[in-house]
Amino acid sequence: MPAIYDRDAGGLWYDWPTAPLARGGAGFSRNRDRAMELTQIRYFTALARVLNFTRAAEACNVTQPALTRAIQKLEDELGGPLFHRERNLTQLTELGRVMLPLLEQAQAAAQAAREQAVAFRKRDSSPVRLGLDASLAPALLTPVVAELSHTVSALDLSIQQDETAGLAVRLLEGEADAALLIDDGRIPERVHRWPLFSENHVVLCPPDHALAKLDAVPISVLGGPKLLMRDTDGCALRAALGRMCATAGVTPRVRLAASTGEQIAEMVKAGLGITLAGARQPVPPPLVARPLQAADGDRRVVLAAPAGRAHGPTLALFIRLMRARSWSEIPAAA
Amino acid sequence: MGLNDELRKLAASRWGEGRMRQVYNALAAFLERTEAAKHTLKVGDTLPEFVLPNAEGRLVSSRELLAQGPLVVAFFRGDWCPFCNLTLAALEDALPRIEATNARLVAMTPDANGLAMRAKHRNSLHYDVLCDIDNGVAMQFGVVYRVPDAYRKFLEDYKCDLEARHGNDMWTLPMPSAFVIDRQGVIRYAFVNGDILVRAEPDEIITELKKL
Repeated sequence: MPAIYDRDAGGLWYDWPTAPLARGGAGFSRNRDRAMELTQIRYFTALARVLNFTRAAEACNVTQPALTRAIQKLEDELGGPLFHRERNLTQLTELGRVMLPLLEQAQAAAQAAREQAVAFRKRDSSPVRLGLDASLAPALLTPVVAELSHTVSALDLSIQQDETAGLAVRLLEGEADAALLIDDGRIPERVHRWPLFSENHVVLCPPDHALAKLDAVPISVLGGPKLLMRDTDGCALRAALGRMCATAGVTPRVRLAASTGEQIAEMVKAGLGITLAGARQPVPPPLVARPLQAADGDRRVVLAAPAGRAHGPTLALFIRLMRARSWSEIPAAA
Repeated sequence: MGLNDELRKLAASRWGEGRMRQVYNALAAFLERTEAAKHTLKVGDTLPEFVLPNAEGRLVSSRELLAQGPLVVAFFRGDWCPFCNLTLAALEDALPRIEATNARLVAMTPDANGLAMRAKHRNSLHYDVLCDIDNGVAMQFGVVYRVPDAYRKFLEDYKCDLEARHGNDMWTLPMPSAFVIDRQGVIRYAFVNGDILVRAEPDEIITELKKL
């Protein structure tokens, strides 16, 4: 970590005057000013959507003068006009365009925090359908799922393993709610991603294999005849293999051997060959993992959910728990 | 020596009387003029209900906390801020006296990705540090502001990437602040100041708790 994080090194030394985000005007009391502030944000996002004061007021179920006052107040706080008001045309200003995504997110965050607390108190739960890239260990989910099972009564949770591409489609089509994916540039934009961790690749081999004696494995071994990989379309490990080999000028010789990682591991145990895995995934005993010397070897593991879709209370808790935790240590295999 | 004395001393040893001090003075004047800290939750307001993950990855709800007694909520920015670390440590020193009033203390940070645990370890804390994901609870307290571009650049120059720390691209921070909430969920003491060197004295928090 850079020195800035160190309490005893030269740290950050001042704060900065800022546009207040969640602060209302003076003269209100008993939470009304905060409610007023969040209301301003709601009116702003509604107006930005329809660009018409009358229709925005209708959509928010308030009078037009009330909506206009709220927008003016927000403009005062943010230091400039958010809309160009012309006779028949309302347009976002530059400031308005800059503030829109921020205020939308802020509004959503406050609303989500409130709704989750209420759902938690009422013990409301909703089904959670999770996806997991086939090259990721289900143990990644264990601590968070265990916490949910403690706190959410009648937890209805399913986990499906598949390739990232297929899971991304399921997210977009509403057949899955969230997934742990490998972000190798093939996830559609409409899927929102929270980075969790990155890992390199390792070669898995039996403990008595020649490669087990090496500290690191040269990428040229991937051109050997005994590389076992899953035969499913869109496999993230195979895509990474192609990338790493192309960079190194090696032609990979892949035996498409089985459809699941477990089957591949069994074949490696039986001495049929070696395989690739993520460096932080649990190694099935008695196999050993050896780091692969390769450029472009980063695997970015992300939590993904469809952008803009409302989260049920249990899913929202799942996402919070996943985002809050440290991924510097990966849970051991269950 | 109180917390505020220690904060000033730390600032003095860091900043001296040079340019940083001048910028800090200008900032203090600006925040005074704009009354930035005046529009947050106040005494008499109701605590916004919350459920948040703690540093250990357990869910903690305001309802469960209030069932055990009065509650102290302290917002801090993150363990990248030396003044926040000093404040967290001062609250740790005061923890036995806070708990002697049957109250619970929680600190909240927008830092995600396990950084709440790091703040806890680094300051040897024995109270809960909660991850206020996307500042959702701090927004409801009215203590959130957007980091302006100049300050953002300053943070980025020092490799303090709030985007990575918070897991979002909003660049918002809470004003360091402290609230005392009674068992009925009513705020009985609120301390918010835009000046990062002016914070609630733990002794003052304890005095307020003793009145409940």
